Amino acid sequence: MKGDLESVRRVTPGSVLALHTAGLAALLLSAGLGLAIGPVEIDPIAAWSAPAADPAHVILVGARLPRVVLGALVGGALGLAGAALQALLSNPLACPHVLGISGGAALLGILAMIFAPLPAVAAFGGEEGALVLVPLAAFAGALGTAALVRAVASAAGRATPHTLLLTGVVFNAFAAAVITFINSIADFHRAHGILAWVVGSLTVRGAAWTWAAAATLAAGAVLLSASARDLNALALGEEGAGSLGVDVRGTRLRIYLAVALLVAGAVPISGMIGFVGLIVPHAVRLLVGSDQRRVLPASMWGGAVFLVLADTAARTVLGAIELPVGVITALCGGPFFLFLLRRQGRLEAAR
Amino acid sequence: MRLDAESLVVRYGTREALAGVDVSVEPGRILGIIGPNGSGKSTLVRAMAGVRAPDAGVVRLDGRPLGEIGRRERYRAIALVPQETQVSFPMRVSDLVLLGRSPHTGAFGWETSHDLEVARRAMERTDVLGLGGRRLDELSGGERQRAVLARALAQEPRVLLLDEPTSFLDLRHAVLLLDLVRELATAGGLAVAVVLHDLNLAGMYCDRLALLSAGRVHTQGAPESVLRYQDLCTVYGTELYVAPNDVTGRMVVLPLSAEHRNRLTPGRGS
Repeated sequence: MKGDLESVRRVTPGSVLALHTAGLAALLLSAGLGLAIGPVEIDPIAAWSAPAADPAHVILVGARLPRVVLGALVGGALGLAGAALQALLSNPLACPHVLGISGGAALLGILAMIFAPLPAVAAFGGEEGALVLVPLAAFAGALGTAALVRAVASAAGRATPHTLLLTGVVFNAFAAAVITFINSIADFHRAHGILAWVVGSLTVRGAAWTWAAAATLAAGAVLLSASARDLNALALGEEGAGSLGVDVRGTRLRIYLAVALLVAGAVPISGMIGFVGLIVPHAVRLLVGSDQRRVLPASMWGGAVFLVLADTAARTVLGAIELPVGVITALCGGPFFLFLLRRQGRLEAAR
Repeated sequence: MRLDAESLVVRYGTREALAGVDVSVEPGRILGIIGPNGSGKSTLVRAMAGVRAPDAGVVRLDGRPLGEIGRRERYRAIALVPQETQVSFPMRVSDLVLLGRSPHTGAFGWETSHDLEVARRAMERTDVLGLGGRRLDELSGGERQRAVLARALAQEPRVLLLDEPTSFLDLRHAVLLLDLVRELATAGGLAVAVVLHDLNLAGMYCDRLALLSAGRVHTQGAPESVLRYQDLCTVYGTELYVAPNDVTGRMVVLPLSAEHRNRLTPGRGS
């Protein structure tokens, strides 16, 4: 009588591998779509094998491919970070954007971007100096904001998920205001593109930036997958997890570190794209259940697919005019957030 | 394994929730922790479980201070069943029970077939094997409490600590749960401490009782020496009916309404 325990979907290394395979397949499909669709009609298969100087080839490999890759990396990072934060805080409304972590990263990232060309800083090596400096500053901004928001939210006692979210939202608005202010006083040349950080837009900055985002995504994913079991236990609350032998403080620190890494990789090439980290884990839980060993990888692939598709829409819905992808994600995410808030309120009223 | 709390002090801010408490839990025996609201019962089991470090005093597991035992090793020996188990995301019963294996599994938490077998036995023991695929929020109070107990048993603990496990249960489900706890102690040799609000259940199931009052042990010992009229009236601050029960011979404790209190002791308490 093996019975019910066996018949219930079990999470094994093999099943997680299958999940990764399915995620990769879904991403390749949406990437194919992203490569095929655009304001200019091209035949992607013919363009791929066309000579390097062919305009269709340039559009495909020079313009669309980098965008698709960026979308996948940024979406993956945001989806993963959102899933981890929701599990850590036991709050379905959490994500790096709502918690102000993206805002903090963008703020310090932009400051670094502005100061990087200054002679003293440029001595590190010009554009490469910025390459090191901006993600580092974004990382510090993300981690600093997480700590700051937590400290402020817990000033009146323990940090409840609600005070944490409220503080984060306020901080994000503040960061956006400061960035807009910097945009107004910075000279035109440097200011170019700063506003795109506030709405969130995929910006192709060069291969090195893409590699940096890939590296932080990989590091964050490894760190988080090692914490998946502890995150499962945290669904029982901090004390419940503690009574199962989970080092709650250590886990919290690890998660914030991983989230800061993910956000620091994503923000310099995309700004503050909202709602990906909020929506994707919810959709994913409907598909794969609530075991974090499935939710985390599925949120990474789901985020990548979602942002690649959203960016494809951003590039095409208005014909030749390109929308920032953050507009698309916010248009999808805003109503969804309200729906979650309403459902959450009903759940709490029912208790 | 035995668990000894020695001179435990726990403060919340300036308030002393525990002001020097000594209690012991022994294999095969059930210690009942009773007392009015705010007397420190929950704080005591949480401190004994090691989830709340005491501000003074020490908890020893077989003589070793809890603080010197690593987290995972500690919770392979001690399981805590909290008053209420709230989960933030829909969780299936089988997932909850398998979480009990956490202190035993590796960093990535892959369960071996042995882990599954232990979880299955725990579910069988608490009669929730048929509920494996159900979600926790779909369960009745009794089913839920048994699922939580299965999670605790999946830890294969030697010490079981329960915080008011019967508070949301009706009479039948309360005695079924405590029958099981009794059996785990007697047949399984577990050392058990259980916080109970219901003094009648406490008197019937426990080998020893510790009556807490304002963070101290007021009296401690065999149920018949603790469930005494004068002590209980003093500690609970109300007039009570205390008399032996015809069937069990244990004490029955009943609260009295104002009307009856006045009839018994004219002039006192209104």
